[in-house]
Amino acid sequence: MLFVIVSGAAVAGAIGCVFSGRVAHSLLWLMFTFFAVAGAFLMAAAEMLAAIQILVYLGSVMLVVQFGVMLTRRRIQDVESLPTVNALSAVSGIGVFALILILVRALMEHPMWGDEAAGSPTTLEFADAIFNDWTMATIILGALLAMAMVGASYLVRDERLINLLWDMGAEE
Amino acid sequence: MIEPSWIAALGAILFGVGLLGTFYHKNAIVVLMCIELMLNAANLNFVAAALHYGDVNGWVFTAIAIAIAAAEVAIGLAILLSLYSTQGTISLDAARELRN
Repeated sequence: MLFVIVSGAAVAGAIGCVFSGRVAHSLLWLMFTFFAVAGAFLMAAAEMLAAIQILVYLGSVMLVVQFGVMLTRRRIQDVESLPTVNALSAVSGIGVFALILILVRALMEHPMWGDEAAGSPTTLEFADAIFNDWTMATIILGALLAMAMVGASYLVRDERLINLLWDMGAEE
Repeated sequence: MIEPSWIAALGAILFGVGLLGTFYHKNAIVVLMCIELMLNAANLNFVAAALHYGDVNGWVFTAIAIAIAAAEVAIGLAILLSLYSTQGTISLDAARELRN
């Protein structure tokens, strides 16, 4: 019963994210959805993943996106941010709805759910798996994150002459 | 304990809604957010499989996917900001060139 409420909240948040007119409202709906997904993680006994979801997604990633929305806000909050509605989008909406129905049906009736569920792993096993079985993957992930941050700061550099001169120590 | 197949079904629905969002929107930031939604749906599937089989590797993949999503958001926003400073807009219809 509780899971029905949580998943209803997640789906409602996702629909609000897709169909709300302003980018900031979409973002708030998306954060609501992520909270609900963290609740679903909790119900699957994945407390550690729920904590990661809230700390990483809601705490940092969504804040960064909000910052980006504010930096580019002049144009994008009016007409451009409304969803397009025409015949083609209606057809694609029907197609996606059919895809959802087929996916849910195929997932719920898959024979792999037939045997008894084995129960959830523990957080201790999770730590053991990350730092023993998947050590190399964790290290490579760290390198990837560092490269992504360096690349991002390279992409947003400002090459106007006044900034270059200030960088070289020129007076005003 | 809840059925793992319900979690997988929730993941399927969220994936579909995110897909619909990438079709409907021209604003690049909203499209990025809908891609995040689809990534989260994939994570739900991993968690459902981990719950069903009692295997911790599903959790490990979820953690890796979340870290990669963080990197993807940082790079995506940097690209969008640089697009905004050169083109003056982030509408996906306006972005037609890779170099100016």
